Amino acid sequence: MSDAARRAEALFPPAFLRLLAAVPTVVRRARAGAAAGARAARGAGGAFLFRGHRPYRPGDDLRRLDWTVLARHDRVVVREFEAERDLRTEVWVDASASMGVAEARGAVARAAALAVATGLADGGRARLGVLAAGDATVRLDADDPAALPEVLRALEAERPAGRAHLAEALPRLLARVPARARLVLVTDLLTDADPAVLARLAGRGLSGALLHLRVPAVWAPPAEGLVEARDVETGAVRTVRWTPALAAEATARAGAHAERWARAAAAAGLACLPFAPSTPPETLLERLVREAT
Amino acid sequence: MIAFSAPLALAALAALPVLWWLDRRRRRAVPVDLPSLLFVPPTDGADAVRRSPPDLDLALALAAAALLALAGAAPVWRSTAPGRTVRVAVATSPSMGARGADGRTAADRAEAVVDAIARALGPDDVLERADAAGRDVVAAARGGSGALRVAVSDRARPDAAPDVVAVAVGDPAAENLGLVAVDVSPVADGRRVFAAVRNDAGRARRATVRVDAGPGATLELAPGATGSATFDVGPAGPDPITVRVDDPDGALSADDVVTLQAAPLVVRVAPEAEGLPRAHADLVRATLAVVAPGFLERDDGTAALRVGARPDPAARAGVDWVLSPLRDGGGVAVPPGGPFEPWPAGLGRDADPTGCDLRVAAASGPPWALARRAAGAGSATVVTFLFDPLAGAPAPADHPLWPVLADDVVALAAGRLGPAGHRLRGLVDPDGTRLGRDVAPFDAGALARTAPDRAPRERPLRAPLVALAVGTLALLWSRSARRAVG
Repeated sequence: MSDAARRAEALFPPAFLRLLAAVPTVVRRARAGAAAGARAARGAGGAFLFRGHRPYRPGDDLRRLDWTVLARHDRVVVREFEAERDLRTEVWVDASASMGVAEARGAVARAAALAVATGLADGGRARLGVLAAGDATVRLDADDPAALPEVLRALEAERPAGRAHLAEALPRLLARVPARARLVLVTDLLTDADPAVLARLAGRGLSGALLHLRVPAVWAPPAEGLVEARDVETGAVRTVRWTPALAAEATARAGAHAERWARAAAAAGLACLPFAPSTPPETLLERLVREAT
Repeated sequence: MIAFSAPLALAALAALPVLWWLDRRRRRAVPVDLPSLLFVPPTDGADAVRRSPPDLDLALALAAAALLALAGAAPVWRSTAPGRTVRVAVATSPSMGARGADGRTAADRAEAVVDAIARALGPDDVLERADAAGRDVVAAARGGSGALRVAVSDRARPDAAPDVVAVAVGDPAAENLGLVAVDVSPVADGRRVFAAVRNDAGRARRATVRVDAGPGATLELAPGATGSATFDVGPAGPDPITVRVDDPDGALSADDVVTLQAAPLVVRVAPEAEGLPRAHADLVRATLAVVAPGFLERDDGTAALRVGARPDPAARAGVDWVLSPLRDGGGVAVPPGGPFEPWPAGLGRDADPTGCDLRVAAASGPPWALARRAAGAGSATVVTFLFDPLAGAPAPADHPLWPVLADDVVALAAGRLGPAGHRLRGLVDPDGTRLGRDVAPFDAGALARTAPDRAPRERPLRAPLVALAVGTLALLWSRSARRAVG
């Protein structure tokens, strides 16, 4: 096994790959026609033009089976509509150095992969990009689940470094996100940017989620007593005597920070989904499907 | 001055900086990479280091290591100069309790003299105390070793040898009336109480003596004179009998009241089978004639007197410690060096399965008597005299001091000593209660003129250092254990 393969396997273990393959099924089961119904009510017809057939896949809504085709040609196909194919998911990953510490990098890569996979399910399109150095850069666009390996390679090749400068990168990103798209931001929000920047999303019919990675090391350093803490992004060093009182204060500050961003995300139509490196991917997927699709 | 027998061991002190350095390494700030310092409250890092609490554990560990290193070097403390032994004998006579006009007793003044001597001593000098009853205080001062010998009592000591510095702490103005002898004896129609009073004052005085609340007898006493009175008490009279002399202003209050038991000592004489027949008869006769006139031969007495053979002569041991209760209790006059001498070596406690606690030996020739006090049936006290009839002449009962010995031993056994250790029968030692009025301060120059008699002293310090180190380590361990439990 090559080094690259080993690294890839460390980020995306076989169990995760199996879960990733099951994402379309999970998404279709969750929708079970509800999504189509919702869009039918809102789209006034134009977005529901019949696009064609595709082979039946396990998990597809049986109500969408084309029984006529089955009767006449003995083929099991389902009907697809234009609205579903036009649904676009934008997955943007914070690529700052803080996202690469310890086990965070794997958790972020897997979260982003799940977000892309949910976007590609049921024929949607997905875009993967990164926020780094104050800018938003597109890594790839995909419109078929077959592109998932390429997505994984792109995520594996990503090396978190430097600072994201979300205060500058987010406005640039938000300006280019199309209306009614599904936006998924994967970030640890370790930034002093104003959460109000998300307000620019309001009124654009966006959906999606803010996947907030919360690494406990931020408020509970893995050492006690006298600690020489170095910020991996800025290189700043701060010597502190880590005491229970200080830990409590740091925890409170982290909680308040997360709360501010959660409120701003909700106001912009994004579900805030905090997750930790230890959060099982199955749980994260279930929340993504339930709250952000 | 401290010297080291094994100075190479001091090299172990070099481990102290290593310990300190290791601790510094342990305590320095741990570098930690954090994704962000966004939530770490800003604190002054230097201040955090500066406010580092003092580490008692490190101090204890360093102290233990230092102590062990020093102990390994076998330190010895040596005095820098030869010293002097100052032997001070203070009289313990009852008269030393006489209180002067300033409220202090002669004993208090004697202790002040001893304190002054102690303060005048150099660091290498040694003060040895050898207290003794008044008559023996000079002999006590002369005993043992000493470059300077001091005898402190309440009167001048014309018998003091030239090598003894006599110090008198008497009160020239002291006056006292005191009972010096009391007795009760059976008469035909009851009991008769005898009381003798001495006027220990520089002027003639009138004394009133009375028995309990009965009528008093007035005695006109010239300075230093002794007068006596007798009182007839019926058979149904008070028991015990209290004899008092009126002397509210006397320097000694302990000799103003004496309490007598009508039957001071009830003695049960053991049957001859328990002793050697001939010796038994002689000893019992001689003893009871003095010890317990009017004794009752009963089985339920408070004391029992038995006579037997002494233990195996081969089993002997030094008995100084055995004699000491007699001396210290005041019950037996055993002057140093005679007339009694310690039981020869070989007779020890182990040899007597009954557990001796009183022993007396003869002045000359082989030992012949041993007195043992033990608990008998009920509240009885059993005093056993053991002797060897083949020990030679004179026989125990014929020895001139036997009555005194027997009296004191039995009195001690029965707990019949009077106040201040007075015996209740016979005239007490004149020096015991006669007030001393002489004043002779301590000659401070005597100390300066005294030549050293002691080589520079050495005191090994290893054991205390090891003990300190062990204590320190124990404290260190207890702190870590407390943390582990917490």
